[in-house]
Amino acid sequence: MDQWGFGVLSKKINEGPDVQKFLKSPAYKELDRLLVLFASVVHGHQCPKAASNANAAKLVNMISLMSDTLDQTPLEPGQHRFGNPGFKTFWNAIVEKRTQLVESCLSKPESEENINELSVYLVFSLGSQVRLDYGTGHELSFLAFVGGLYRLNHFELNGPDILLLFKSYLDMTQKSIIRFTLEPAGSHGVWGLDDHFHIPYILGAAQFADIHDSASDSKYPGDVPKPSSVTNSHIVNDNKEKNLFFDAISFIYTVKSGPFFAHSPMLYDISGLPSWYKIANGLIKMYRAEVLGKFPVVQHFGFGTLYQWQ
Amino acid sequence: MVLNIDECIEHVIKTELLDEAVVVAICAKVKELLVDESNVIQLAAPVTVVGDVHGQFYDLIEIFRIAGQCPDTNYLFLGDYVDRGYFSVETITLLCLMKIRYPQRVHLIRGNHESRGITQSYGFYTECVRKYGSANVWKSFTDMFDYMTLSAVIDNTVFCVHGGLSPSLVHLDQIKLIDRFREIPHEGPMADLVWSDPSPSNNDFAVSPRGAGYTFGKRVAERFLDVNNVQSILRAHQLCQNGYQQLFGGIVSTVWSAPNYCYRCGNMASVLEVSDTGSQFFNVFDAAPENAKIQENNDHYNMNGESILPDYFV
Repeated sequence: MDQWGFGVLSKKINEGPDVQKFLKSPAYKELDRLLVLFASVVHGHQCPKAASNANAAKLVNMISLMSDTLDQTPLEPGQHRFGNPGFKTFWNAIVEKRTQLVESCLSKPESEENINELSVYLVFSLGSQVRLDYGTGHELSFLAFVGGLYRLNHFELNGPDILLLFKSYLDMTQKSIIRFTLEPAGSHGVWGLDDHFHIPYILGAAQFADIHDSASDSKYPGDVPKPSSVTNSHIVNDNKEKNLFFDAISFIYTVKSGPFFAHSPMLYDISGLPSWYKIANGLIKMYRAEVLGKFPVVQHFGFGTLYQWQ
Repeated sequence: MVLNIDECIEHVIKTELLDEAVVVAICAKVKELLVDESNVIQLAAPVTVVGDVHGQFYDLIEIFRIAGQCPDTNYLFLGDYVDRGYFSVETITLLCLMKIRYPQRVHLIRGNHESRGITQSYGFYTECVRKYGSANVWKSFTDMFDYMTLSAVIDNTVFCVHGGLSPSLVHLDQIKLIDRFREIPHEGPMADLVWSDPSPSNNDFAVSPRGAGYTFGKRVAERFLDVNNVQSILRAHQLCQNGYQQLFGGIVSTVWSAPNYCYRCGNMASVLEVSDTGSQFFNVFDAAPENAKIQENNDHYNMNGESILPDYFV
């Protein structure tokens, strides 16, 4: 199926200068607002094991259903250049079920138009079935999906549920990357923050620090690890289930070999900063410039009524 | 400035950075050599062809150990020397020095990453500024990239290019007419040569999911070989789990020379050895052991003692 064949969202970012228009669009404002909002509410919370209420649980169950589908998708045997085309089978299975999946998350009746748009963001959040890769553009699509459900009042906003949703999505995506050997989409190699992800770092740092107040004490329950402990495997292991920053770091250790400062110099430099407040705010600024502001990433973002071009 | 090339090579092999002024002089010298090259250089076998290296310096050194030192072995590099890896500065510096030392035995063609625009996004710019404290060496290198040639033909038999074919280039003579001394454009024949990929799912040209260049199928490749009276197309540009891939019954090959790409992909790498009898052998290799032993030497500061944190965090 063609990337834009759903006939629901429109591609508007076709060449470099279109990014400047995107940065002034209602869609950009909304995505930026959602990111900052989510980063604000997660402060002082650890990733929970279960949702706080039935509406959030519906969403978590939906991700778990997708994750089960992933587990049941066979790999394609034979020689492949890199990624396993079994990913296309998984992607197509979610395309088939997309409307039901979205409907399973709803807490009240919803317009067909909104369900269709949400379902496209959900499908795009899996990665590219053409290039067999996954990157921050796909992650952005998940932000749009969760943000859309929230704006349409299908779940109530609270920190632990946001963490659980993003952790469930992160877990599924990490599994998908490994199972299908998805390539890093548009990777900056060692010079990017991470081969695939950005949002878990923002939310994880924001769990430790109030992004709006450098002076306030952390409300995080339990010990707040120092940023420099990203190179300490024990501390990374102890924190990876509770904190999204360390979850993402832990994944790097499972997929990369060699010294941390060499394969992840950006994270290594960030780990030299004294406070999680600085890290969280720096990461948000970086997200605006390196994800939302970059043509190769946002060229695939689709616009409709939930996220408007004009 | 008088350059002592052998001395420079000794420093670079030890991953010691050369002075900015020396780098600027090296780039100027390389430009003098590149400016006279045709857009389609004619090479004679034996020659060893190297695919993407992407700043994986220790793996480049491994290639010389496995496939032979220069000048005993002739080398054709298919581009993408910089970006993504930790040692793009060292990698391109060494390749330039080798080009100056053995201009007839080392040939460097241009990849899509030998570009101002791409290197500003994918790491080389960042690395230059981190290592040198300014963008001066990046400017010298990227100005030099504008002089790199676009393709080669080995023994009138193997057409070599970084990416692939272009719908605007039927005949090799058309490649020779491109005004290549410029930044890689967003579209057109020059962009296609460095961006395109072969695709088993289409016979003709199709829109590339990369947003630049095209994908081309078997029929396009066969027609190109027929028109130009060559036997195969050798290109790089795409990661291959086994270090290489052959398509369309062997008439199009991809050679990939960055093992365990970006410290994570777990892939093998290869170089293609074309012998003087015309036989071809993909010499497959794994990541160099030195990658695991790299010593940290900057500790969040560059050679001028300045913080190397991106502005977002300052």
